[in-house]
Amino acid sequence: MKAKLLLLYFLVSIFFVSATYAQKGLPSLGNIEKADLLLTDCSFDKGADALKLIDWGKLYYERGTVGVSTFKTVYEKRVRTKLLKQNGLSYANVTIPFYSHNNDEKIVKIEAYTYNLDANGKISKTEVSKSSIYNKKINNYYSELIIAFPEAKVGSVVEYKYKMERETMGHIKDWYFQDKIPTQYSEYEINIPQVFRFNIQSSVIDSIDVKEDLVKENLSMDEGVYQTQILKKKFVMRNLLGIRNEPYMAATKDYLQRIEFQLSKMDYGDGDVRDIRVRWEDVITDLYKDEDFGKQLETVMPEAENLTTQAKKITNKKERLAFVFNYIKNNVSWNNEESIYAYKGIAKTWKINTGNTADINLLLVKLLNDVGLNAQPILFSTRDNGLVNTYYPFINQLNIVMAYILIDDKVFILDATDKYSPYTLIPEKIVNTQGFIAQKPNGKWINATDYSTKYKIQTVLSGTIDNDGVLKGECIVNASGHARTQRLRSWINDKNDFKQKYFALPSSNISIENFIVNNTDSTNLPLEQKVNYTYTLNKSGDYKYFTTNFFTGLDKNPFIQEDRFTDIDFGILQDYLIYGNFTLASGFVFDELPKNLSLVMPDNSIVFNRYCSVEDNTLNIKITVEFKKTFYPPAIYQEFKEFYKKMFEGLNEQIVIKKK
Amino acid sequence: MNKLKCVYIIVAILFAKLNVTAQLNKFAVQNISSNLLLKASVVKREESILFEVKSINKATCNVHKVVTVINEAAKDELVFYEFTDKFRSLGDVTIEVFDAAGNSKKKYYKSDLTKQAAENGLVPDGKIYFITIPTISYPITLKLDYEIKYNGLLSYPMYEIQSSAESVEKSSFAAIVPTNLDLRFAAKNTNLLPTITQTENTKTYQWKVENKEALAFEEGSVSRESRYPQIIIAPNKFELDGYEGDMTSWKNFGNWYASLAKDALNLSEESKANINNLIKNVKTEKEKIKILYSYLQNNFRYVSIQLGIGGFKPFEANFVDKKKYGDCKALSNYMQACLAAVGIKSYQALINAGYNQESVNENFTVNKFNHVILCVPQTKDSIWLECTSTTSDFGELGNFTENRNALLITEDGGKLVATPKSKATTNTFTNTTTVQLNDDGSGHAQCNINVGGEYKQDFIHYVSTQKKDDQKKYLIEQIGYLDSYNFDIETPNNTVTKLSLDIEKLYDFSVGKKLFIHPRIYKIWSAILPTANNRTKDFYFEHPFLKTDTTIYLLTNGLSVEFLPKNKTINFDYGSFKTTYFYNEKERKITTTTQLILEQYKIPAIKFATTKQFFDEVINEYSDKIVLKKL
Repeated sequence: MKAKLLLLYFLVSIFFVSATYAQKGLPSLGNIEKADLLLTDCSFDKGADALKLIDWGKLYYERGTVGVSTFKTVYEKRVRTKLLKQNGLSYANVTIPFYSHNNDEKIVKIEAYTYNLDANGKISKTEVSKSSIYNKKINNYYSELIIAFPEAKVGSVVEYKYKMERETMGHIKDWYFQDKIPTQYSEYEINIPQVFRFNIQSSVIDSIDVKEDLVKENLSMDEGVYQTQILKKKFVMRNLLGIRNEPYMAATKDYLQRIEFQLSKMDYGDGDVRDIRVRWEDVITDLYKDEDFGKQLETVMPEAENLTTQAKKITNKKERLAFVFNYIKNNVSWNNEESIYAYKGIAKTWKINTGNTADINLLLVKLLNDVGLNAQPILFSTRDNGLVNTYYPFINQLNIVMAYILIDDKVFILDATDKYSPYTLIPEKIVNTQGFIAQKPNGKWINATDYSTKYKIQTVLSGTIDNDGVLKGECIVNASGHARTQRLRSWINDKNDFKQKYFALPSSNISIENFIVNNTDSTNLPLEQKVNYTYTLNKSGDYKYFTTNFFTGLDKNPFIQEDRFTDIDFGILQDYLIYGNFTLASGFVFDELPKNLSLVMPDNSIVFNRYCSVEDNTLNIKITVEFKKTFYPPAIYQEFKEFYKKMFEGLNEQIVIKKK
Repeated sequence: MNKLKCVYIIVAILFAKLNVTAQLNKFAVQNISSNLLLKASVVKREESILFEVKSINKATCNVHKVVTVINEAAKDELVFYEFTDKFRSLGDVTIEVFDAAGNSKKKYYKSDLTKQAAENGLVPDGKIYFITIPTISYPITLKLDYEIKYNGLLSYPMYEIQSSAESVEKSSFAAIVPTNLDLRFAAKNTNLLPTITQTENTKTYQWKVENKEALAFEEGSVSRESRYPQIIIAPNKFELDGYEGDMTSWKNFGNWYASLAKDALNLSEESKANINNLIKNVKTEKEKIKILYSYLQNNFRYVSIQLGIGGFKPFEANFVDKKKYGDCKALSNYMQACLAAVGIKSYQALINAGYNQESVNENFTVNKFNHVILCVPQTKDSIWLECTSTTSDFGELGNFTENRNALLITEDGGKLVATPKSKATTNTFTNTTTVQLNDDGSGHAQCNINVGGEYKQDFIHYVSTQKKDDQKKYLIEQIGYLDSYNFDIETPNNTVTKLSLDIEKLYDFSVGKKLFIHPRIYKIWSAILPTANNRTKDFYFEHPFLKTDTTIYLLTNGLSVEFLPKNKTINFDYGSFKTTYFYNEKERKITTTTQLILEQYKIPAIKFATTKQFFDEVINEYSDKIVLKKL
């Protein structure tokens, strides 16, 4: 809830007059080409619901409000969208969120139009009046400006432009060139007075035009008017595809081409350039000064003395660690908000037993230190939040804080908001990503890698087929490693949902009873799921047949899409074992059995094996699937898809029996 | 001596026991009798609700409630959530938390609640207050005390006695009303009667229950609002935002609604002329309505803006005309104005929308509506228009509003009228496949899919407006088509989809030289109905339907037919399933036909077991394979 706004104050007050900067080439607001209205599909992204014809932004500085901020930033944004399909009509309802707390962000001007072709093929333009613009206060911090475009239908073009002011100097808006719908033209221009120097982190793959200009302009300070230079930098990209959700996709943000900014230097003139916030160590310094981070770790916690006294009696360090971790995990509940900054503070969190990730994990760090364990906060970007570029010291890349501790050369990374993960496991949200240990003075990046703990599912199916062709037996599924954590979480949260997710009946001729889950409290043991099933075999002519692929965690092939645009990112190595043991009544005999089968991805990264044998009247089948990689780029999608298809054929091959 | 010691110890134990009992906290979980824990995720320990009507537009509702949440399944009970707006405000709130032993652990107050804009629609009216009480373990007990203040009321609060997996120790609901206003009540899924007491100026109704065991949850039942035991109470006279009304009859309630909307039917002369221009050469009234409806569908869109009085007063037709958008009330009102402009009479109709909504009670007037549609009376069979949909067929309502009573707002007040019944023949899915089968069991398939009614709406939503990958995903994952390595799709219009598929494996499995070929290349039905044990509630399908399939396999000379499944006919009370298999040796052509009909969407509880059995058999039929032999 609490947004981090970066406000910088100066010793010298500076006033600056900005000149408008004419845009060339772009059609102006309110003027539209007939061709855009005649458009029926996006030429470079066929079948899109809507197309952003123009996405334009400009940011510049103006004098701020006296007593609040020396400067304010002015952000102008203009979007022109073509509505191509019925589903695209949702783009005729525009929501602009802004941080309205203390009037920090204000939308000072808004102008919007709908364009249509009338019955005679003439362009008609409807200006959006105030009666179609709504201000919605979400809560004490945020508001939304909502535009419901009039006269909008399939074929229309809608356009809006607004001006937003923010009383801040050290923060300028990041720019996303890409969106869920395709973008034909995207431009962002920043105008930065010489006094500010920004680091720019660019995540761009397609071609980008960058133009840079230095322009002399007047800057008036209290002492008088000076001339200074304005850096005008313009970024342009064209014809960007819309990003869609795909199965096992990493964070959407990672695929949106964008540029991000962070203030790095201040230039006070006469060669007096000071580095600010360019290195990770500066980030550390700031973090430790921050009342919602470092200051939290200085909080004295007399209320927790009971716990700490007890913990200190435990001599084994790992046991002491587990004791404190489990206590917090079991007594403080997470409010589902991720942040690197405390919201309620650790003292209050201790008192009311609830808080955000930072509240809880900083409390954990603090208490671990109080019991003589040298723990540090460690910052991550969760997999859902996207990759971190460690080269750029942008604190806003990181969205979660956990506890880091080294005991006898073993790394522990602890997240007390995750009730289901044992302390020995690197939390699933961040495993195999990079973490930044917030350790004075410089901080340190580490790889939170753990390829030895896998997502492991073991299914044992056993049963006997009677003379009526009914298979009765037991299925035991053991989930270990990250699969244990995932399934336990699901089981505790919603048991019905769990059954639907992992024990969905593949067909109406299978029924289950006596469903039980064991070892929910024994973190060292796999989560055991046990069920009795009755399977009336399918029949066709003289044959009866059945599948051995049920409740195995590999029921459906998720990769049926012909093409893929984003990486497949499983995050964790997977390991599946299916073991089947089926005995036939005397009246039946196994027909031809599935052959032994071995499939290997061309790069050896996935290995599938199937063994099948019959002894007397008993069939033994064993299937293993082992992953050696977690990540597959789109370039090898075709191979990957083909492998998956073959693998699912192998998994789903029927066992056929017939009457003697 | 030994004996004496023994006795002494026994006495001591007895004392200890007594002591424990005496010390046991009031809300300790141990105090719940075992029958109330059966199948319960939550136990209502105490509840007393006092609803007090002060005047036609002023009332308060004081709630005292203690609930023990037994396990995570009832974790929603830990969320306190109240909607407030101009007519409804939240007074003091206290929430006290107790552990399993009944020890008080924490207290929360109104200042601890989060307040934010309501989330209903693009531009909602009103705010919500909420808090989720944190817990690490269960059971946990909450004691809630709060007050709601009404400043204008259309509906009175309901006494919700219990819901699924909820048992009740003790609960009561009292309504105090001024005698001159009084109230009406109706019991649903219960026979509970109130005790009624009277003073000089007020009348008190009180309902009480005790020791109610938890109810089982039955999947596919009627909508939540109608599923559980409850007492509905309703005003005789009411006032909202200065609009006074009478709810003692549907007629009078309709009059009130009409008074809100009475000035909303305005259209400029220019717009009226334009509208008349649209239909100028059209003869029949039906054609005129059709043209205007299509004008609405092509030029207007639904936007959820809940402003005005409690979301009841529609935007004026003029506003909608200019903006080309509105919510259900506004669009229906606009359509009514358009029809009026060309001399056609129509009525707005209030309705409770949702496929499993129960029809409103003819004999008990209460506002249970959440949607507005339009009815154009005809000499025979009125024409009904769903004005918020850009894809509905003219005159087709669909399962969202069919099969129930709608309240027509006429010049003579409200009139309850039945909307059309859903018909199987409206919701049709017809597939024709021709497969050129190769010797190795691969082949090329051409499919023609024709859809109508709800299937048409599904296909508009998931197929004709989607990108190719999503179309493929829908057809494979939802309709169960076989995966193909070449997938081509054409949707010449909203009712026709043509597929051209190269399929590697048209057989399920092979044995020696025998190929076991699928009877169809998709699943005609795959949803497994819930288990049928002890069902007490009627089961709702989304809609009745008629599914028809013809699949033709053209064989090469390298294949011969070894076995064809037998023709099959299965009937049950509300439908039938029929398959035929035929081999034409001369043309080397296998033809299979399949028809699945569900005549009625609502299945009485008593017939559910046979219904489930029927659909199970339909699913199993897919395992009947055509056996071909490679020569």
